Amino acid sequence: MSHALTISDVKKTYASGTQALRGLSFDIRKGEFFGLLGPNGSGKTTLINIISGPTRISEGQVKLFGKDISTHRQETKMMMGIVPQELSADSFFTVNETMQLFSGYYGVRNNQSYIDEILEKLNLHEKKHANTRALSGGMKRRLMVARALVHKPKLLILDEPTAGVDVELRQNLWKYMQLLNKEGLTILLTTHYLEEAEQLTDRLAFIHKGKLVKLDKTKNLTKDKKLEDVFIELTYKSDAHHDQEAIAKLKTEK
Amino acid sequence: MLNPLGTWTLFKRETARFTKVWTQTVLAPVVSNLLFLTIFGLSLSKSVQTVGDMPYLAFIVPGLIMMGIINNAFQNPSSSIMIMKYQGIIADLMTVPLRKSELLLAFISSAVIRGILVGTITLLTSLFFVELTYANPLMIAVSSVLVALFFSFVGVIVGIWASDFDKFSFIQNFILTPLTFLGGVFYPVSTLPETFAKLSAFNPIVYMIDLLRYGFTGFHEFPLALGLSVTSALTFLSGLAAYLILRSGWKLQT
Repeated sequence: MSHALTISDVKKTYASGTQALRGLSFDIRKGEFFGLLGPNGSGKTTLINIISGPTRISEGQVKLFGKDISTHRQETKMMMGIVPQELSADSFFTVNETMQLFSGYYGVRNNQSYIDEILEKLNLHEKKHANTRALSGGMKRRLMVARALVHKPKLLILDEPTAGVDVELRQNLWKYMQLLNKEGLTILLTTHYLEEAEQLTDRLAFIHKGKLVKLDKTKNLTKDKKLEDVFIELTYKSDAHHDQEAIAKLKTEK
Repeated sequence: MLNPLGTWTLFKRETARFTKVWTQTVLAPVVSNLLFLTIFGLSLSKSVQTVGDMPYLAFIVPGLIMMGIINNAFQNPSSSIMIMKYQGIIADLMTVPLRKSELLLAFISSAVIRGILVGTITLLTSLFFVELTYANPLMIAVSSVLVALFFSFVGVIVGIWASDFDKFSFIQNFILTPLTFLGGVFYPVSTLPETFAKLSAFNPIVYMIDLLRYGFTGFHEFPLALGLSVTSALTFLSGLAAYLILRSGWKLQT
C-alpha cells in the first residue's frame, strides 16, 4: 500500500513544556479523503503545522509520498497545499494578485487560466480584482482554499476550512473538494462539523491529548452509532472515566 | 532544491508592497530630506557658508542621501515583517517552499532597491539647490550598496525580533534616528568638542556618511580604509546574524 502521508511516532514538546503530541503514528493512503478529529487542544493543528512548516518536530518522522519532510523540506512543501485555521489575507493585494503570488512561490508560471478556473469553482471570480481587505470572512476563507490549490498539490490539508462559511457556499466547497478527490487529490481534513466529516471522509482518526485513540473506516465507525456519540465516547467520556479512576485511586490511598 | 521563481516572486511582492504606497515610502522621505535641505541648508548656509573649501549645502547633501538610504533600507523588511505578523500571514512564509536563504535574499534585495531609490531621488532633487561634484563614483556606489545591505539585514532582524510596534518604534526612534542625526549629517565630527568627537568614533554611521561624502566631495574626516573596514565588517556580521536567526526559526517557528 503506498502512502501519501506517514506519521511515525511524532512527538512535540513546546518551549513552555507543554506536550502537544505524545507519539502519534498513522498513515494516509494516496487518493484518500481522511478526517482528523479531536477536541480543541488535542494536537490537530500542531500536527498540521509540523507537516506544513510553522512548527518544528521534537521527535519522530513525517514522510510525504515517501520523502522525509525534515530532509526534503522544499520538495515536500511543493507537494502540499495548506489551508490554515487562522483567517488571514495579504491586504496589499487583490484576489488575483494573491493567486499569482502563490503560483510564483510554488514555481508555477503562466497560471492565469487555472487561477480563473479555481476562482470560478469557489465563487470568487466576481471578486477577482477586489482588494482582499474588501472580502467578507467567508470569502477570505475561500481565497485561502483557492491559493492552496493554485500549484495543483498532491496533498491538500484543510484545517477547519468551513468555519464562517455559509451553508450554500460550504456545500459548494465540498462538492469541489470531492471532485478534486475523485481526480486523485489526497485530502486531510480537520473539522468540528462532524456531519461533514461523516459524509466526506473515507477514514477517520481521533486524537486526544496528543495521542491516537481510534482510527477506522468512517462507515465502520458510524455503523451502529452516530459519529457524535463516538466522538464523545473517545474524548470527554474517556476523560471522565480516567477522572473517576483517579478519584477512586486517591480514595484508596487515603 | 532551489526555487528561483519563488524567490523572485517574494522579491516582487516586497517591492510591489512599497511601490503601491509610494507616497508614504518614497515621496515622504524625499520631501523630508528636501525640508532638511531648505531649513538647514538655506538658512544655516548664511552663517556657515563653507565647510573646508566646499559650500555647506554640498557638505550636507551626502549625509541626507545616506539618511534616506539608511531609513528606507531598514524600514522595508522590518515593517513588512511586522505587518505580516499583524495580518497573520507570517506563517505563510514558513509554509511556502522557500529556503531561509531565499527568504533573506528576497527581503534584502527589495530593501536595497528602496534605499537606493530614495537616495537617488534625494540626490536628483538636491541638484535644484546645489551643484554637486563626483570625486569618486565607485565609492559612491560601494558605500551606498554596503550601507543599504547593512540596514536591510538589521531591518530583517528587528522585524523578526519586535513582537509589537512599540518595540519596533523604540529601535527606530531611540536608536536609529539619534545615531543617524549624530552621525555627521549636518556637521563635521571634527568640529565637535573632544569628548563628543571621541564618542562619535563609536557610531558606525559616522564612517558610512564619511565614505559617501568622500565619494561626492573628496573630503573625508576618517581614514577611508577604516570606514570601509567598519562598514564591510558590520554588513557581513549583520548578514550572517540575519541568516542564522531565520534558519533557527527564532520567533517565526514554534
